[in-house]
Amino acid sequence: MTAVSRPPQAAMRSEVVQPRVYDGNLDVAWLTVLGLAASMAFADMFWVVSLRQVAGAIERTSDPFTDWVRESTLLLPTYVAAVLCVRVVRRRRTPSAAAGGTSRVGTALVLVGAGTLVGVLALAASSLYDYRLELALLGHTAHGSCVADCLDSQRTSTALLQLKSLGLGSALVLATNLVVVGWVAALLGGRLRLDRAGDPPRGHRRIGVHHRDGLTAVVVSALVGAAVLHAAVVPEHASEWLVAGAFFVALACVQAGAAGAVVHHGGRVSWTAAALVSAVPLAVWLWSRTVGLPWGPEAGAAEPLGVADLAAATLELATLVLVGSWARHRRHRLAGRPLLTVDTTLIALVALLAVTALGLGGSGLGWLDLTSGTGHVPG
Amino acid sequence: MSPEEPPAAAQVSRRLFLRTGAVGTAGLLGVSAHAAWSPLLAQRGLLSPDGVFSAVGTALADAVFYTEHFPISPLILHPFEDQLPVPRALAPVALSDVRGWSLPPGPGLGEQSSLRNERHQKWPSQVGYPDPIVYQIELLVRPHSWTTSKVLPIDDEGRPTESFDREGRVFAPGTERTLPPSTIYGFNGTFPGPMINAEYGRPVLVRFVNRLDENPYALDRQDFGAPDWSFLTHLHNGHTAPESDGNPHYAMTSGPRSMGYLPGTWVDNLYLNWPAGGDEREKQSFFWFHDHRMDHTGSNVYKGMVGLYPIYDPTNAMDMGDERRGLRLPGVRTDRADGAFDVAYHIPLALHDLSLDDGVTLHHDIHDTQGDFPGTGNPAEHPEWWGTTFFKHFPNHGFVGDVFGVNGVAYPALEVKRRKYRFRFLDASVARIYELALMSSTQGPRSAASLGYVDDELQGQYRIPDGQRCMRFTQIASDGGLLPFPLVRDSFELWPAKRREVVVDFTRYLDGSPTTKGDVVYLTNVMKMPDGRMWESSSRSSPDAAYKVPILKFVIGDTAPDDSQVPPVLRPLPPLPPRWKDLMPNRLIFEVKRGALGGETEWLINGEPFEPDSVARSLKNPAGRRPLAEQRMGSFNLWEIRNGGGGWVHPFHLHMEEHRTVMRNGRDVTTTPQRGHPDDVSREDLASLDPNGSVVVYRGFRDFVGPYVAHCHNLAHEDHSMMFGWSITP
Ligand SMILES: [Cu+2]
Repeated sequence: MTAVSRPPQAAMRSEVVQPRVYDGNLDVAWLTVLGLAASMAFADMFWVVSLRQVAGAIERTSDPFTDWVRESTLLLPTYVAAVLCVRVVRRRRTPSAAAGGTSRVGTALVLVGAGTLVGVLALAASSLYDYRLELALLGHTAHGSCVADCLDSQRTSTALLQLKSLGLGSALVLATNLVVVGWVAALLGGRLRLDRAGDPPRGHRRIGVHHRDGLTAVVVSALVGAAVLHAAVVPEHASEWLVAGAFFVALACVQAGAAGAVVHHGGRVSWTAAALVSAVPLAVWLWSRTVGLPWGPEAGAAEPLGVADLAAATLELATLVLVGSWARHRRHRLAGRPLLTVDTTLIALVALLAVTALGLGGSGLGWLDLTSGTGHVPG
Repeated sequence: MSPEEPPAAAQVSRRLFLRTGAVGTAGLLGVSAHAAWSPLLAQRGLLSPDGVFSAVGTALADAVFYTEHFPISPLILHPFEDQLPVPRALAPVALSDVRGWSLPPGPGLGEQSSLRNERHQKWPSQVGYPDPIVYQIELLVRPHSWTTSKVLPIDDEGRPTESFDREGRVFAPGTERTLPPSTIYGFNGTFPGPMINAEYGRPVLVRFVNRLDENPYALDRQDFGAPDWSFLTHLHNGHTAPESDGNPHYAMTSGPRSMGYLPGTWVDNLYLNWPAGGDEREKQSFFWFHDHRMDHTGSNVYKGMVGLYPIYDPTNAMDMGDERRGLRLPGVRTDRADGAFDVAYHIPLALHDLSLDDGVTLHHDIHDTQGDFPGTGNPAEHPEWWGTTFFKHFPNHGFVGDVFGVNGVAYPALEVKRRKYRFRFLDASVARIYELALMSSTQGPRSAASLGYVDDELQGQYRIPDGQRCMRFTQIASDGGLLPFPLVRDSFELWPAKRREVVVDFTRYLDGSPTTKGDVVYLTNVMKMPDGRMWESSSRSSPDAAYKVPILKFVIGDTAPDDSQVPPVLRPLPPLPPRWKDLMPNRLIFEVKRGALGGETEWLINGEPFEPDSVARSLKNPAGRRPLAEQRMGSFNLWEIRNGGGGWVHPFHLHMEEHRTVMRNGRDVTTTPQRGHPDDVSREDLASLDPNGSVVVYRGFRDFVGPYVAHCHNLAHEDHSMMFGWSITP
């Protein structure tokens, strides 16, 4: 099956009528993709949260079930992105996907690998965070004669415990993903098709969107993601300093506005606006995390890195890169060559969603908060 | 369709097979996991979405993170032949001798310890009491023998195995051996240490002298016990001032300003024998004194620092050890010329469990890396210590031994007269909880190994397979003294540091038939507790009818006169204020929970490890406040102690004044106690926290000011930070 010979389809806008090349397809078997991602997410996070019960910081151990649901949910888009990556990789490698048995096993193994990568990274991040909290607890404890060497040995054994937990957890995540993927495959009757069943029907919506629309969608979702994250941190900032709260409200509005402009006008002005509303906050963020802003309650002090601000910065950086490619693409008029294939667009969209979801988890917003758990914070 | 694919029909049936298999396997796994684990989870308070995570986490930790492996003690071949040691009361130091001391006790500054930096907060004259009776107790390194019986070294399958000796000899499997003496750090060099018979109104001053630096028998000190040989004695739960209370919050901030009193020093602990607030209803009946040295309480107590302190009440002869007067509880008193008195038919039973080195179990502990015991070469096996007490300072759950002893002897026997006795039970173990019953057995004890048991099921060494409950206990007192009324019980639980006093009538059985001379009754433990976490089976949850471990053999002797009785009313409870519930919103809340720091800081309260130089802060209470654990002298308050879960139980001890449990698991228990905790209707100094359990206790803060502590009395938990400081302010 090749897609190169597809006849061009009617374009949506006259100025972009192009001869068509294979541009990926949207025939994603969503039920399978989501099912796989969700099973791996919830199964992997089960181990992460269980291990936290014995090796994690005490303030993160009060409500494991809630933590599990929250963390699995927020990581779900990341797992979906991983599965979609596998879909593309497998399509490229074995165009006649899902034909032979080896290919099936291969797909399954790559899926396990991708899911395990996400799971282990999540476990590592969680362990690192626990370790930081535990160090803080050790640090502010003047437990009797435990100073210097004794404190060092406690730090070392705490680190060792986290490392053991990471090692054990990684093994468990791998084994679990093997079982989960195998089980899903069995449930699907032995076939792990990430594309909709069978060969795509002839003439079926091979491609229906223009390449620039893919880019637009990605830029817009990066902007919207950044806007959402900035809106999410408004309460936290407003409680410290009202001006900062107002700044983030404004920033969220401007970024959302730029997204709207890109959708509605799509011209040079709106793309430039998109770049500006990303570049300026990115610069301010860099400044605040390195030398510290000259105003505000903690003027002159560099702020610590957080998950939410890292995620927002990532989204803004992505916007800048995308606007840059758009500009370059325009200048060179690389006619007929889609900037983003449909496959890439899809993965990019899900990846941005994943970044936004993780950012939300770090935003300190009530139920979504990944960082403090629901336990009390000592002190 | 590619040519190599099977025909449609075959493909469909293969898919169907796979699908059915997937659904079926998942369903089957789910159902069987539920069936297999839900009773266990329910018992541990883990049958909840959150509990599953705790259970899985713990299983992983047990399997991978911690090595909690204890030796299999050699089998004691002839149990119940050594006599139960029944302590005589310690004699006070003659006044003339005290006067001859270079630094005699006194109320002045610098007279409280050899450090010369503190004074007694309240000398007896300040409460109108006479000068104290003076005792002297020395901390000594001594040998101790747990049994005179031959032993057979066995492995975890119960099969005969090799054994070793100090000279490096190896003995073939099946060789019967005699246990070498174990090294103890004991009060006056004995285990248990001396018993002081005290009386209300007659203060006692004990001069504790540390001579642990002397080793006249050249004993191997092994790898447990405070490495600096310091001690800190706590009279549990005497109503005493901080300088005599022996608590680390005091010791680290005043007096020694260190974890304990070092060799060469002495300290006078003054016990006023004064009921809290001068209230008759606050009188107690059985204290014990034990070591409380910060971070090494468990190892010091296990190494021998245990003493007994029954306290009598001569007011109206109510409870003075004379069964012809007052309440007429069993006891025949003899006043001695040396100033002490003994009470016959009134026997303390200090229960403890121990583990004897098999020579092949690795000694491996966090303390090895801290260089606490540099000469031992740990982690290492110690065949040269074969047969002596084994200890692990930092186990995962708590420390339990597999040999049960009473008053320092493994599986003793006691000949009793045909009459009523008063027994004072004390759990002096590090972590083990007992459930005790009185049983008869025609076949007698058989070793667990001979019955085919292995591993943890070997704990206790013996069983009485045909054991039948044959007598009941009449409980008359708990930690806080005499109950308001007696409780007749088939069995009772004894948690670490708790005391329970019972009357047993050896003249007849449950069914009314009389006993005859030569009959045998076993004090039997029916709670299976394979690790320090909690029980696996007991009468109130998943009982194991086969787990009947005899601890002490009573042999019925001759009939003896008996003037005692058990009156229907004992000591009234101090009243609760009618509006005690008004205190609920602003109560202090403390949650005890396992943390997960590496090293020694494992067990936390309100998320914090013990900080000896400060007072703890409550969790946010319903009034929205987080009060400091500071109380005005003369005040009363409600404190809530909450088990943070995870499948552990915690015996939680509050120093200074005994309390009364008013709420348990969110329900008012002032009128009707809950099943499993019938003695909530008494005064106690130790709250038994079931898995996920919580108690609200009403307690007073009278007579003294200064720093105190509250802590888990699973000593492995206590030594790893499950303790908090609190104080009384003027
Ligand atoms: Cu505990």
